[in-house]
Amino acid sequence: MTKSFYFDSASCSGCKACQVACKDKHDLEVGRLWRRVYEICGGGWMPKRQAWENDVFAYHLSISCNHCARPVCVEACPTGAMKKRADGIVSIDEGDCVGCGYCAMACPYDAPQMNASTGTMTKCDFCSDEVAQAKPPACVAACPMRALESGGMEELEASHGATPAIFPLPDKKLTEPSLVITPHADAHRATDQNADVANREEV
Amino acid sequence: MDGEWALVLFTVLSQMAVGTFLLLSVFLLLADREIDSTGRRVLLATGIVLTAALLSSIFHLKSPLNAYKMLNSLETSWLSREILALLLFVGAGVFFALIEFLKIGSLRTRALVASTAALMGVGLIFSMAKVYMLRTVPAWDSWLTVATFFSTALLLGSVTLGVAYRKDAPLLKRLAVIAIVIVVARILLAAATSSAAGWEVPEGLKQRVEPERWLIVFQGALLLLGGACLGAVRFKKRAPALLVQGAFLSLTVSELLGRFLFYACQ
Repeated sequence: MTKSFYFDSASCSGCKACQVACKDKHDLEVGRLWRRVYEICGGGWMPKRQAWENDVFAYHLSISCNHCARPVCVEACPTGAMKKRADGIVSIDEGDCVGCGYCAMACPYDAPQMNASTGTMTKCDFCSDEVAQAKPPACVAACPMRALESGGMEELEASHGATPAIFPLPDKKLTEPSLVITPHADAHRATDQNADVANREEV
Repeated sequence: MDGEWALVLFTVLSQMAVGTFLLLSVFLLLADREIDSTGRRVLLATGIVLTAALLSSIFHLKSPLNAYKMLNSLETSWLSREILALLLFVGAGVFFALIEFLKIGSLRTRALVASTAALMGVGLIFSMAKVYMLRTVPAWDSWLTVATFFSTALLLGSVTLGVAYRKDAPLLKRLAVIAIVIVVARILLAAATSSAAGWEVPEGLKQRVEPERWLIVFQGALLLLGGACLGAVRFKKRAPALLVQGAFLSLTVSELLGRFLFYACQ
């Protein structure tokens, strides 16, 4: 079973409890985020007959490492520190990391994050210790909206359907992320209505 | 962008070293010409530039003590392959410099060793380009990256050699032609595709910094200035040496800025 995440963008309120729970569990300092909540905003005042109508929309995407089936970080890593385990979890052996940052350059999800004090790359390990005790990862357990789930890719896709293209996520074909998303009702408007990530300074 | 200056220096300086070595081999050894005292000074300078490049690549690593593990993933990682090519080029280049300085072997043997080292250099630039041609970074994943890296090598190689051989008019004029062709190609490319160097910042999850417009204009102006100096060197009967040095300086700075912009459009 490939360890995968499910995220329900339609239900997410953007409270960032997942992000905080992850930071708390893994004791991440300010600036290092293994899970990030992106706020995507678009729309504005649109002319409608004699008036102007406000059609602003916003949705959230909670993204961590997606433990891709074709992990570009593992291919890129020159030392072999980045590995894909048999259970699908992409993990890093910090003892072998040279701190070149090439995995971060290659990953389109910003998953590998440098620990400035050790000079090594770190990333989401799917809370392997919790998973070993048949518990959910910290982010999944913390979500008050039950917008996050973890499980096998096939089972998540079977219950939630395949993930369509969602702005601003990269094409799934590039790395085949182990991530299933139910898009927000307004997500399809993003590319036509100049949507952008509104909280760049946070993520 | 923090820390990318080390990579800018590493890529541009190592390409300069490869280009200089390649052209030195082609114009002297392969033309059955002994490397004179000027050529030996060029070899030494190439070694210094390459050492500077190596040092900046090591400064870029956050855990340099693990650097010996960088050859572990030759099967999948172009970065591992790049390091291998770098070691091969440095090894072959140092071996050539040794037999050249000690005049061991015939001219033909030394030419063979130099060609082998130059071939390693070509491999180094190719693998360096492949490092950036990641399928997840659309701005870099094109033949333009290979073309840019090779043209940097030939451009900076020809002006470096030009500065050294500024009193050898026939050689200087041939080097100027190579450099002019590259400058013109760069200008045409920039005109044909407004994002020739990729400064159309793509949208995505990652935080991207739009490069400063003035930096792009300044880089282009330096390229034109370098091209104009080279034009004068090529077509004027007696070009002052200052023009060659001017071309070297403006094109080197232009290439460094251009590479900075390359990293900015990741």
